[in-house]
Parts: sequence; structure tokens; C-alpha cells
Amino acid sequence: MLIVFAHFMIRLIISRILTTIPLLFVVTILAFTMVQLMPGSIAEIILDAGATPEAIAALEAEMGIDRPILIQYFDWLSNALQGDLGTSLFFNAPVTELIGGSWKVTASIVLGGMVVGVTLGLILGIVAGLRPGSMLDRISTVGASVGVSLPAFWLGMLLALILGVRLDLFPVIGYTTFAESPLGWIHSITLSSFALGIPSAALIARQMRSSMANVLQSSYIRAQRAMGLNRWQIVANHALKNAMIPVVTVIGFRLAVVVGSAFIVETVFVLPGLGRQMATAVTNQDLIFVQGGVVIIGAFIIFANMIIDIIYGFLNPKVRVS
Amino acid sequence: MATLTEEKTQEKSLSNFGRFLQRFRKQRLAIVALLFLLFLLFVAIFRDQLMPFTKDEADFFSTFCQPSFVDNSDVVTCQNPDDHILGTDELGRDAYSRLIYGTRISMQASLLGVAIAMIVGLPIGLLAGFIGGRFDRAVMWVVDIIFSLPGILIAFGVIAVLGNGLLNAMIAVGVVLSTRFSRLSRGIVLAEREELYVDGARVGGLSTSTIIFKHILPNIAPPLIVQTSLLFGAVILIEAGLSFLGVGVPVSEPSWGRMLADSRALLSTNPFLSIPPGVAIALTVLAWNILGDGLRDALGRDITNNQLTTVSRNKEDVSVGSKTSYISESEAAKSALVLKNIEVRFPSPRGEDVMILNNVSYSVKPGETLGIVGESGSGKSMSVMASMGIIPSPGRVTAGTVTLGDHTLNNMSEGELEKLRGNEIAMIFQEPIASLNPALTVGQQLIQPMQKHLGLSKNEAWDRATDLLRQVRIPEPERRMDEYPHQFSGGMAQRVGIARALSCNPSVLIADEPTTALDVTVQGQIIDLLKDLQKDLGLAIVFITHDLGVIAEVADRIAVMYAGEVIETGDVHTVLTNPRHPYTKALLETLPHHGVDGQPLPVIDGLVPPPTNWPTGCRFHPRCQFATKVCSNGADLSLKQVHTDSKTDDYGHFSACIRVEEIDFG
Ligand code: SF4
Repeated sequence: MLIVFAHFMIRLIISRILTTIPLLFVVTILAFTMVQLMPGSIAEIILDAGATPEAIAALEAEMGIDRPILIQYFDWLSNALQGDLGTSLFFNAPVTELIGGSWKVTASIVLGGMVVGVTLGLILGIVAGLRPGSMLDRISTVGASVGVSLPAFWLGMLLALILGVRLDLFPVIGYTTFAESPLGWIHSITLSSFALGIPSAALIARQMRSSMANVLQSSYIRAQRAMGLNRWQIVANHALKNAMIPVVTVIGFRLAVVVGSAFIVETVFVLPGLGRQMATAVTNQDLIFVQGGVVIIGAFIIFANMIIDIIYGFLNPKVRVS
Repeated sequence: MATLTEEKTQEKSLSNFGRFLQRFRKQRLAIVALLFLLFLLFVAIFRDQLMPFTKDEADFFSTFCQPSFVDNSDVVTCQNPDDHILGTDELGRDAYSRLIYGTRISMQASLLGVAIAMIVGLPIGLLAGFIGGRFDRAVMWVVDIIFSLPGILIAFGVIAVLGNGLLNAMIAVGVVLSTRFSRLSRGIVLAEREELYVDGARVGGLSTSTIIFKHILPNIAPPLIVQTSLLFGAVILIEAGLSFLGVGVPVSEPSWGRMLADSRALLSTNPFLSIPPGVAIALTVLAWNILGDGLRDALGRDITNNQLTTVSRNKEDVSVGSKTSYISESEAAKSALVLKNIEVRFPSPRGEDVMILNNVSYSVKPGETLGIVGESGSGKSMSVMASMGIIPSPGRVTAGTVTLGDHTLNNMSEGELEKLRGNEIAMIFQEPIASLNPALTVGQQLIQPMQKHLGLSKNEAWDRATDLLRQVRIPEPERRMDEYPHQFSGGMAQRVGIARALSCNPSVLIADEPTTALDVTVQGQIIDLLKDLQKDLGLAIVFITHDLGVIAEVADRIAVMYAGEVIETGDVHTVLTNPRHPYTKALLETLPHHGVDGQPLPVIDGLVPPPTNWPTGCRFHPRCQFATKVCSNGADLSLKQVHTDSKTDDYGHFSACIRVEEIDFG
């Protein structure tokens, strides 16, 4: 039995990896096209407004952007694959180096936010979904509606105000790396994690609730009940796994939202993350950095989705076998 | 053809709209949300009249003011606290005025963003869905990739290219959210394409655009409205986030997000400044979400019941055995399962109780099969759920007794009932595949009840389950144990269902239309299997069906149900050849072999009345060809022994028809 199962899983993982590669291509094309769409050329931005057309042309020739577009793309792609995403116009440093210094901060709070969101969300959603219409369900449904509507960065400010400024329990600015001090690391990302996690928890709870409630209406639940299994056996062994299937998809979508919110929350807590770099780059029209950021973040999301897909297949045998 | 379909579509959407309005009116919270949003619109339109100060007007004598409703006397920098309801910032700018100013930005931004998202996204999805094929796959592939990326990231890209500015920011947001419209509209087009009327419209020679605008758009309107409402919330959140970062909306414009960013620096000196803009954003998003949910609920279905909730029985309200039943003491003593005078009620949406089952009695002995026949809505399935104590909430048994062997089920707790279910009484279902858990292998779900009831170890249970599969004649049982339900055909899945039901050696097996969903040959095999198992195990079987042909094949004894009552019962042969109730007689006449070749089968006129509207007296009287005045007045409607000439049955033959002695059943 185990061998059969392992065989299915390996096939699933290989097929998911294969479908992921073209997705990565699309992201690089999107990022590359973005720069091409800009009115004017990079050379005009690099050189100041007063530059002569000749100077611009010369720089364009030097950068190779007067060549056919496809050649430029493959040139850029092969550099990107070797870890060279160009030099940032604004920060004046290699993009990969800049991102190498900041991604861990963003990744830390995204991870924290997802842990908080998924744990809280699943617990609340299951409890509410078991007894739809009950008092507890109604309270958590209202709580979820409010939670989904809260902007994470405002929530962050409130948490900073109450738990940081007033009660002085957590730092409201700055980041401690895990290597420096694991405890300090957790301490420094707690507030941002909750700011990111609470709205996610609300959304996941909502999905889990309706999913659980739907599963509990199904015929196989009645059949198990007719076999004398009790409430908890049915929920734990039969309802939960099925109810999780649509929730996993939602968690996948939510990850992208949490990454986006993390960019903003970084600013609230003055964390030296990728989001703040991106925002600075965007306001200064540093297209090279933005392009690099889009590729890196896009690739991360695609890999994360691949893992979510594999979990989905693990939960849902219909996907696995076909 | 074309006009006909059009009329139908219109009529459909009109009546739907009416029903929707009725349901929406009950969503009080959603109406409050709608009013709040209209209020915001009002504020946005009359912004300039409502602002006491201009957005940049600095009252240098009143900086860092707390809101006017708290004590400002210790804030030395604030000289005119009463002028500033929500306080001022470090330049003495009025927070209240800036909040109003931001309302318009927020409204504008969200309208613009959603409009762009719709204009870009809808056509893409509609076309992809409509053209289908490779085009659809390619387009949706890219749409899905963009959809999966963080919205802010896409917005960053767009703004980096286009430059800062409110319009650019909203174009960015519009592009981000357009994918949601594409996915939505495409999904609905695909679903609608399947519908007959689009095919009909094509046959009628209508152009693609006519079909899209006249047939598909009206049908996607409801989900579109819901989605749009939810998207407004999403746009506001993204816009606020972008302004918070100073990306997009110019920093000089006090949008709500910008106000929050400004207040971040003053968090320790004037924390209150961060409250109003945050509350404004949260409330607005909440309002859109509540409105969206309200719309969805007004358009969707209810999920408040489930298979696990049963209303706990209030012992006092169950009156036991006050009425006499046609089942004799001696008969009851021999039976494996006896239902006596069962009454089941459900609260109706309007609050009063509706009786679903009235005075239902039947019994079945070991080794014997009782067939229960009736149209849908007759209460046949409800009666067996009552016999297992699994009536779905909010229904409940309000009178009568269920006796299972030595046990009387009425006063049992849920825990005691669980020990009997599966163990003493088990059930197989109409839809065999749906009654198996799709996420577990057949083996995984078969072993659990045995571990619980028989105390077997996992391995013992596994071996026994494999034997059971062999016993129900599933080929290669060892391999099949590891397969999932969707890998089984309906007939094979029903065998699994039978194996599960028999796994803990029950004495009573309930079969709820077990062959209805199967094709005829498989149907025969399942019936043969059940008969063989019954012979080997001495099972008492209650077999529910609406098919008299099946009943004739499986049952020893029959109970005919109509509108929540048993109206005739007796030996199967006697009842089927010599019916003594006009309903049974009418049912028999609808059977194929009564039909004359080339003529349509006779049907019973009318429908089973709904429980909320059961006729007085004999419930069959509106459809009965023998009905007279007495029938609707309702004299003695209990089951009466019928004196037939044939004395072949040892059960007796009973009919509820008042006029049973007067009618010539021929
Ligand atoms: S009681 Fe009257 S209405 Fe009812 S079945 Fe008999 S004849 Fe028909």
C-alpha cells in the first residue's frame, strides 16, 4: 500500500515540477516586457533630462538595447539564470546583491503571518463549521468579516501602539536576524506576523467554516453516522480531510496576498525588507530593480503554489490518480 | 424559436429578481452597509461643502490637538481644540477635513479601479469561455499566472512603468483585479454554454455577440454583482496600501492611506491620528464585504443543517404507545425491528410544526424482507431514518416507539444509539459512490466501524474487510481495498456499501433505494446478492423503493406509504394482486405490463401534496377517483383488517381507505 502511494506521489511531484517551468518563463516574459513598455528608454532615465540624443544613442548601444528584442530577452534571461539581474539604477548596486540582503526579512514575516493565519483560521473555521448557526458560529463569522476588512498595515499600527508603545512588550521598529538571536528574531517579527496573520486567519476561517458545513451535509457523513461512529470520529477521520481540500487552495491564494501586505507592513515596523526596497525603487522609477523584484517574487510564488498543489493532490485522491 | 428563448430568459431573470429582492430585504446588515456606502458617496460628492478647513490649511496655533471630545488642556500647542473634532497634526491641519477629503479619493479610486478591472477583465473571460479550445487555455493560463501573483507586485510594475499619479495607480489596481473578472466570467460562460438555451439560441441563427449580451450577461449578472461588491473592498485595501507607501497617489493628497502613513511618525505623540483613517478604511471595506455577502446569501443556498446534528429528544414530548397499532403483540415479539405509531415533525420556516410522518407503524422479522413503496415525498426514507435515530435536524420524533430486538430506542442517549448503529442495524444508500468518503481508500473506511464495534485490531479489521469484499463478490479484494471510491463503478461501490453495512453483524439491514441509481443488469445482481446474504445471515431487511417491480422481486411483505402515512400493508403477493386501497391500485396501473401497446402509460393525476398542505381526512382524496364527502371529513383513517377471500398470508392485510368495503377493486 505504501509503495503504491509513494509511486503516486512521485508522479504527482514530477508532473507539478514540469508544469511549473513554463510558468516561470511567463513571469520572466512579463518582467522583461514591463521594461519594454516604458515610454522612452532606460538610457534616458540614466542620463539626465538634458542629455543629447547622441549620448542616449551611445549609451543604448553600450547597453545593447538597440538590438532585436528577442536577442535582448534571451541575453537578459541567460544573465538572470546566472544570478545577474542587472544593476539597480537608484541603489547603484547589483539587484541580486540587494535582494540577497533583504529577502530574509520579508520571508520571516510572511512565514510568521502564514503560521498565525493558518493556525487561527483553521481552529476558528472548524469550530464554527461544526455547528453552523450556533452562537459561537455567529460570533466567529462576524469576527471573520471584520478581520478580513482590516488593512494589515493599520492593524500593525494598532498593535504597535498598544503592545509596543503603550505596553512595551514588543519592539515597534527594527529586525533581529535569526542568527543573532532566535528569540530576538521571534520577538522582532511577532507584531508584524499578527498584523499579517489576523486578516488571513479571518479569511481562512470563513472558507473552512463553509467547507466544513458543506462536507457535513454530504451523504458519506450520514453513512458513517449510520455505522455508529461518533461525532468526533466522523469529524476527525472523515470530514476534516475533505473539508481541507478547498481550504488549501485558499491558503495558496492567501500566500500571495500576505506577501503583498508584508511589503506594506515592513514600512510600519521599519523592517529592512524587500518591500521597502521595491517601494523606493518604484517611486524612483528604478525599473531594473523592480524587474528583478518581480522575477524573484514571482518565482517564489510559483514555487509556493507548486508545493500547495502537491499538498492538494495528497489530500484529494481524484487529482492524484488521474 | 429565438423570441421564445428570449422570453423565457427574461421571465426567468424577472422572477429571480423578485425573489432575490425579497430575500435581500431580510439581510438587515447588508442594508445597513448599503446605506453607509450611500452616505460615503454623499460625503464624497459634497466634499467641499462639508469640509470646515481646506486640506492643507495649517492652524499653527493648534498643532497636535487631541480630538475635541477629550481633554486638551495639557496639550500646550493646541489653542483651538474645539475647532478640530478629530484633532490636528504637527502642522495644525484639521484631521476631520482631511478625512472628508480622503473619502472622495477613496470613492473615486475604487470606482475607477473596479471599472477598469471590469472593462479589461470581463471581455477577456467572456471571449475565452466562448471561443474555448486552445485560445481559452492559453488566455486563462496567463490570467491564472497574473492572478496568482501578489496584487501589490503587479501594481508596482505598472506604476514603475507609468509613473506616479492617482490615475496610474488605479490603472494598476484595475489590471491586478481584472483577472478576477476574467476568471469569473469565463467560468460562468462555460457553465451557461452547457445550458440548453444557448444551444437553442445558436440554432436560431443568432450571432455570437447577441448570445453574449442577451443570453449570457443576464445570467452572469448575479455572481458578477456579488463579486463586484467584494472587489470594491479589495480595491480600497490596495489603494490604501499604495498610498501608505507613497506609491501612486501623490504624497500631497491626503487619501486615507496617506493619512495613516503620516500618522505613523506621530504614533507616540498623537496616536489618535491613526484611528479615524484606519476606521474609515476598515468600515468601508467591511461595508462592501457585508453587502457582497448579503447579496450572495440572497442568491445562494442555506448550509445551516448537517448530517451530524440531531435535535436531542425531549423525553416528555414523545408520547409512547397511546394509540393502538395494527401490529399484534405476538407479531411484535417475533420481529427484529418494530416501528409503532411514529410521528415526525419539522419546524417550518414560518415557525409552526409540520408533521412529516403521521402514525407510521411497520415491523420486520429475521430472514424476512419488508418492502416500503411510495412516491418521493411519501416519507419512506424519513421513516427509516427515524428507526436509526438519525433524523436530520431540525426534525424530531414527536411520538411513537422504535423497538430494535430487545432495545427500545426512544429514551436512548446519542452514545447508546451509536452502539446500536452499525452493530444491530445498518444501512445502504441510494447513491453508492456518494455514500463513500472520497478522500479515503475503501479499506481505510471499512475498518473503522469494526474497530469500534467489534474491538478488532487494525490488522484484524483489515483482513475481515478483505473477506467481506470477497463475500460481496468483488473481484481482487486485496487490490480493491487500496483503491478510492471514484475508482469504483456504481454497482461495485454498492457492494462496498453492503460490505460496510454487514461488517459488524447487524440483525437489521435498511436498504434505501439501493438499486435506483444502477442499471438494470447490475440492479439484478445486487438484489441477488442481498437475497443470498439474507439467507446466510438471517437478516431482517427493510427495502425502500418507488419501483413496484423491484418490490415484487425482493419483498415478502409490503407497506405502501402516501403523504407521510402507511396506507396499505400486507403480504406482497396479496397486496400486489389484490390491492385494497385506491392509491395502491392506481400505482399498480402505472406499471408497464398494464399498458396497452402503443398507448402511453396511465399516470396518477396530480402530485403528492407537500407536508405543509396535507388535505384533511384521507390525504389521497384530491387524487382519488373513488373519493366522496366522507373521505375529506376523515372518519376512521387507521389501518383496518381487510377480509379477503385468500387466506394465504399470515400477516393479515390492512388498508386505510375509509370506503374499502364499498369499492369494487375489480
Ligand atoms: S378514503 Fe376515500 S379518498 Fe381515500 S382512498 Fe378511500 S376512497 Fe379514496
